[in-house]
Amino acid sequence: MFKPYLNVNRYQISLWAVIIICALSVFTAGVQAGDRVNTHVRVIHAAQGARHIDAGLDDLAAELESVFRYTSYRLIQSKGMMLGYNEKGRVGLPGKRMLVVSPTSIDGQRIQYRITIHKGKKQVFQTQVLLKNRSSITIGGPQFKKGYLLFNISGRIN
Amino acid sequence: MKKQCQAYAPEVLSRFADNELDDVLYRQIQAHTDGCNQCRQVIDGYRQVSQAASHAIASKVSTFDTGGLGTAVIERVAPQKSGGFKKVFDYFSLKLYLKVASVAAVMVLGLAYFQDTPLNMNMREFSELREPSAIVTSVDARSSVMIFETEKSKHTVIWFSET
Repeated sequence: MFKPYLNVNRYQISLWAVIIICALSVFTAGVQAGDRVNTHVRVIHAAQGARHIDAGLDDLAAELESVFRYTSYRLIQSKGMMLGYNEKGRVGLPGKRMLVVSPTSIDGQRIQYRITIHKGKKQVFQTQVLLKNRSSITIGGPQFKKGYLLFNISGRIN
Repeated sequence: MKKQCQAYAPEVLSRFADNELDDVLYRQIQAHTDGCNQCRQVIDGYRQVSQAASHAIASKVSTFDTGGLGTAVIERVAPQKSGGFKKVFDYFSLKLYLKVASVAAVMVLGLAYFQDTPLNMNMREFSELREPSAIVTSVDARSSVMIFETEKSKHTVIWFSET
């Protein structure tokens, strides 16, 4: 009954083998891409005065203006890093400060980060957050040049 | 040349041969043909033509298989029955370019699943729109700390005092 449908020759078997290998390659590439976390840190100077928003902050400006009363937002530093888990990424900040960011694990669709800020040899701030994949968090507070420093940290895994 | 009998028109004789006349006229012609060879031959000729035609039609009708016609129509109209097993192995009978196209489609969909495409980004952003961008699990600062989020996109902000 099924004999006509089982007419599978070597060529057809080879074709299916190629299909399976390609599918496994695609899947493996996706898994490997998730081993590192694309982390991006933007250092922003927020102050009052003439209204100014740098072009590199277009995606963030409306959010910042909705909660802060500053009128000037200047991007003073931007750094992208591909970090492995527990690998520390360091960003030098004005005023002998240092921001250290490290992805520690994945929790569902969120990336767990450990973030510390140092001033000189002292740690002045430390937090652990679960950052939504392809999203960002803003940390602010240090005074700088008649304004304040904001650190926008975004993370992305594929 | 012998003169043709003019007693009855050929159409009347033809109807006589086919038994289509009323009884009175039928008997009159029958009585006439007893004594008229010409009319009888004409009537016999009509009858032979009629019989030949009848036999020809009857032979064609007898060879026409009406039962087979019904079966043939049902086979044409009814959807073909095919099981899942047959469908799977029907794939092997596809032409090469169709096989290549199907493989390419599978690979594109696989890549789209892992890559950043507008389609999957929009779906994800829509489903996660109401969640905060970050959940703060611990915080340690030398003085006061505020944690809040923006109203529009739930962007999480931590504000700390350095001194």
